[in-house]
Parts: sequence; C-alpha cells; structure tokens
Amino acid sequence: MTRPTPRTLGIVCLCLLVLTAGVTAGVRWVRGWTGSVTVLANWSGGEKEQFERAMERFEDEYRIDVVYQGSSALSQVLAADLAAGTQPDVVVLPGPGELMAYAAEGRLEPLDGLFEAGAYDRVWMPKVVGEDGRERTYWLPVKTGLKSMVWHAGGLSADEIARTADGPDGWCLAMESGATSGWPGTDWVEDVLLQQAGPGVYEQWATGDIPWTDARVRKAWRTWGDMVGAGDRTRVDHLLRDNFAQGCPRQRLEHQGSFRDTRWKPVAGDFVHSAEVIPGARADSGHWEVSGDLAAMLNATDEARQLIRFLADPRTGLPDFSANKKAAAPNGSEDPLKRKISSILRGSERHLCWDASDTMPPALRNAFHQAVLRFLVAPDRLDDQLRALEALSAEPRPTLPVCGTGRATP
Amino acid sequence: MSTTGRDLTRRLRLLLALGAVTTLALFAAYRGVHDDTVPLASSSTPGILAVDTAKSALLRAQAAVDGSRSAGDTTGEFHTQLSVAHQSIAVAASENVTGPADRHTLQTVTGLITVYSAWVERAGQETDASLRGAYLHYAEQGRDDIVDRLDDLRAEQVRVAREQASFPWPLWLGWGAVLVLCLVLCAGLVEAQRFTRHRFRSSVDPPLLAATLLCAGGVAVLGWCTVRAHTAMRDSLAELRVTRSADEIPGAGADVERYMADTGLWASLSEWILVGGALLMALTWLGLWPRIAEYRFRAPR
Repeated sequence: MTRPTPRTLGIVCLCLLVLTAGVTAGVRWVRGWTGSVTVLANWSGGEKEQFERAMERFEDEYRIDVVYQGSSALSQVLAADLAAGTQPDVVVLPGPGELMAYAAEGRLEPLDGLFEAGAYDRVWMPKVVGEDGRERTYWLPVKTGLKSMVWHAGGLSADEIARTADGPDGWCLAMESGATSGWPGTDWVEDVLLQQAGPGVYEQWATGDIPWTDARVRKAWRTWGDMVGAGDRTRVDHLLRDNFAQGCPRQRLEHQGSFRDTRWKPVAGDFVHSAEVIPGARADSGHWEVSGDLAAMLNATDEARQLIRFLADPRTGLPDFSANKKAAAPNGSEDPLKRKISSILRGSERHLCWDASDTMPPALRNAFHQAVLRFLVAPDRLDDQLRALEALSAEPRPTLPVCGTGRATP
Repeated sequence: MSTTGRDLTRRLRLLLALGAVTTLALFAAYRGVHDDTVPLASSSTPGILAVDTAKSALLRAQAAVDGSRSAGDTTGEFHTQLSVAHQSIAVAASENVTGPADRHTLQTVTGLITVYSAWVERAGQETDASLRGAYLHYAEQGRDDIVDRLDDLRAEQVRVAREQASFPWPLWLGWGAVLVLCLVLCAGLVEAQRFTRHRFRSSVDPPLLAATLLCAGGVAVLGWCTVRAHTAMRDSLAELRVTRSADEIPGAGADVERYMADTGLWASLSEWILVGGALLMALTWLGLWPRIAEYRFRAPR
C-alpha cells in the first residue's frame, strides 16, 4: 500500500478543519437559542401586544427565548410557584406591596448595577431593605399608570360634568376582574380619601399608622357609597357582575386609570381630576394616585439579567407610560391625551401617591377587595368591614414611601 | 495479462463503500421515524390525555356547583373533581410535552384553579344572594379562563404529537435513498457473484449470497417495521386529535397503548442496523478476499 501524498493529507486536514468549524458554529448557533427566560405578568389586550412586540425584539437581538404567562391570579400563581421552588425568572407585579414582602424574605434578587437608577424618580424605585438588612433596588418600573382620573366624552363644561357626577346613574362602574374582582372599588375609596383628607392622611392610612376605623376613612367609604348607589340591589347586582373593561356609554362618567385612554379616545374623550367631582375634596387637592408594573428578578440567571437591562433601556418600546426619564415622551400632536397623562406622571411638582392597596400586603389587599364588594351590597354594615380590615392591618409589615414628589434617586 | 485481480479489488472496494453508505443511510432513515415513537407513546399521549382529564374534571366540578346552587355542594363531588384536576395537571407537567412553556402554563393553571375554588367556596358560605351570585359568576369566568388555557395547551401538545407522527420530505428522501442504495448494493453483490462464478467456475459464493440476502431481507424487515410504526403513530394521533370526555379517556389511552405496543421493540432494532451493516461488509470481504488473494502475489511476466 502506498503512503498518501502531502497534497492528499493537506486536503484531508482542510476538510477536517472545515467540518470542525461547521460543527462548532452549528453547536454555538443551537446553544444560542437554548437560553430562555420565564416571565409572569398580568398584561392583556393592547398592552400585551406591545409587550410581546418588545419581547420579539429582545429574542431576535439576544437569541433568548421568552416564555410569557399572563394571569389575573398573579399573586396566587406566584405564591404557589415560590412555594414549589418553580418560580419564574422575572415577575411583573402591579405595585410594590407584595414585592416588599418578598424582598424582606430574601426571595428577590437585587437589581443594583443592572441599569441606571438615576433615570427613575424615587417614588417609582425606592431602595428597599432586603433579608440581610441592606438597602437595595429590587424592582424596575416597566410601566406606570395614572389614576384619580374621571373620564368623560369630551367637550363638557365643569358644570355639565358636576351635574352628571351628581347621582349614581351618571357613573359607569364594574367590579368583575377575575381573581382581583373588587379592585375598581378600592381605587375609588382610596382616591376619595386622598382628595378629601390629603396625602399625609392617605399615606398614614396606607402604611397602617391610621386605623381603618378612623372617621376620615369611614367618610371616604360613605362618600363613595353615596356617589355610586351602594345598597341599591338592582344596580349592585349588575355592577358586581360587569367586567371592569367593558365599554361605558358616552353620556356617563368613568373613574378609571390611564389604561382606559384607548376606550375614550375614539369618542374624543377627555378626563378631569377626580377632585373636581368628589364631594368634600380639599380645595388645594392636586394629588394623583398612580400605579406601576414593577419587574423583579426571582432567579439571577444571565438571561433574566439581560431581560432586566433590556426593559430598563429607554429605547425599548414598552406599554405606556414609561417612568424612565430618558425615554421619549409621547408625541403631543399625535396623541394629546397620552401627552397630557405623561406630563402629569413625569411632572416633578405634583404629588404622586401609589395606589394604596398596591402597597399593602396581599392578604390585606385581598380583604379590601372583598370588603368593597360587601359594602356595595350592604353599606349599613360598613363598620363590621372596617373592623375586620383593621384586624388584618394591625400585623406589622414593611412599609415604603407611598407619596413622592418626583425627586430623582441620588 | 489477467485483470481479474484488479477487477475483484475494485468490486470489493465499491461493495464495501456501498455497504457502508447503505448502512448509514438506513440507520439515519430508520432513526428518523422510530426516534419519535417512544416520546409519542410515553410522553405526548399521557400529557395530552392528562390535560383532557383536567379539563373534564373542571367541567364536572362546575356541574357539581351548578347542581347545588343555593345549598352548596354537600356531596364532596366538587372537591373530588378538583383533586382529579390537580393530579392530572401534575401528570401533564411531568410529561413536559412542549418544554418550559408547557410547565409555565400548567403552573398558572394551578394558581387559577386555586382562585376558582376560592370563589366557589366563598359562594357556598355566603348568605347574601347578590354576593353569592357574583362569586359564582367570578368562578365561572375563572373556569372559562382555565379551560381556554388548557385548550391552547392541548393544541400545542397535539402540534408536537403531529410532528412526531409526521413523515416529512427528508424522511421520504432518506427512505428513497435507502431503497436505491439497497437495490444498487444487491445488484452489485449479484454481479460480483456472477463474476466470480464465471471466472473461477465455482457454483456459488456462500458469503456473497449471505450478504445479498442480509441486505435485501434486512431492508425489507426494517421497512415493514417502519410502515407499521408510522401507521401506529398515525392511528394514535387520530385518537388524540379529538378532546375526550372523562368516560372516553381510558379507552383512548388503551387504544393508543395497543397501537404503540411494539414500537419500543421496533425502535430498539436501530442499534442492530450498524451490526448488520458490519456483518454485511464482513461477508462481502469474506466472499471476495480469498479470490483476490489468489492473484495477490502473481507478478506480471
């Protein structure tokens, strides 16, 4: 048998080299797609579509698969996942109450250093004490919302709005929202208290320093009950079953957050501050209730970190409205409503106060939802409801600043 | 000068190369079909049927609630059906048919069942008719959400099962190549047989005959196994396409089990293809090498 010539050997070596390079490239390509990040959130409709579009860009850019699940039973799903040790990598919760508790238990991974904290106002992203007693950043606001808004069909004078508001028939109200049914009512009660008693009392109540049985809190419940016709069985039977996202006739008013702009925009709708229609609101009331979807990391994987960085990038097109001061504000000529809402959310001089129930522990918040439903049916038993809520509220809990002034994080 | 030695050597090399290529093509084509039989039988089928069971249990739980609207469920049927749903979801999660998304969905469904159950229990304890009606309404909304998610999950699982049971064009191409290669190899072996008979005036070359029979018989048997496996997968998929009610689920599971009973054995034959290929090449070598050896040391005169 003859020996192979150097030329043959060279060709064989070249073939092996190309084969090895091809296999290596193939393996790297395949492995690039094996990374995934699981996300649990509660977005639906247009918000979900916007989020999914952003996630598609993330997947294309970083070759990381995003496994998304949305559910109104976010708290229950997350609690079960944590108990079973199968928590998602990233969770997006509406409000800091639950996240504070999880941070204190050491369930959350700190986000310090993953993005520029100075791009967010302190109210959205305060430092929170973790399990080890150190203050860290545990969540990133990916979307904010304005509340304390009363939507109307537009072009109405203050008198016309006041006349419409003066009677239960002038209001759209619906309580059904899956696991969190009742929250539209808690928003009402909180807002009435904020506008009547001011941010100081509101914050003390939200953090447990003022009891639920306080006269100012009771007054807020009563005011709301009178406005929407609590106790009127026929009316209440409907509003308990109606879904919060259903349409509202244009001749009525709706006390809902900025997420309803898509509903009111087609009828040239507009909004006024709720203090303009709430009986007994303070003359100097200029405080807005706000909400925020906060992303937290439960598993500190590289993919989860990358997703947090992506969500914090001001160029990432997330559902309205971004709390990132470097993100572009909505274009006023294209969408004056969005521009108006955005300017309030970013306005440093106005008081922004968290939706109080979003800052409460889950058990208290859920009981608040239930109490609202009961109050609508039987307003005469309000004191029983308040005493029950106070019993739950008496338990010690971590608190955070509920109202802010839009100061930047140093 | 005789060219017999050179002709034999060329035939041996060609037949060995053809044997190796045929073996590898057959191995790849066979694995392409049979690698999916075990996951279909042991993972996709129980996963899909578990989702059907969970959905059916939820519907039965709701029926128990509907049957006792004012009094609350006193038979325990509601809780029994919820236990069935939870167990089925645990089974579906363990089968992990569609990967992480599957598990994530089932975890969410588990949380939603908890919420659904809480609303039903609240309704059962509520004395006020308005609130009881509202709670039951919330429960029904929750149940609809759960059923929708299970339907979506099932559709995704069936898509995976359909892919497993499919016979895509690469497999047609692979099996087409196997048949052509097998025919060419058999023809080559027969031609080599005739060549040696003609040149050496012998009746038959037993190793070459055995190699021919092994090639033709092996491909025929493995092809038959593949057709049977593919038919079994197609029949199983037909059983799984339709959502089954609680009464039909055990029957559907038994049918699939019956269809797929031999697929594990068939799949295990793939390891023997390489052994068979090596044997075929060894027989080819045994058939031709002694003849070549006769010419090996003959120097040209």
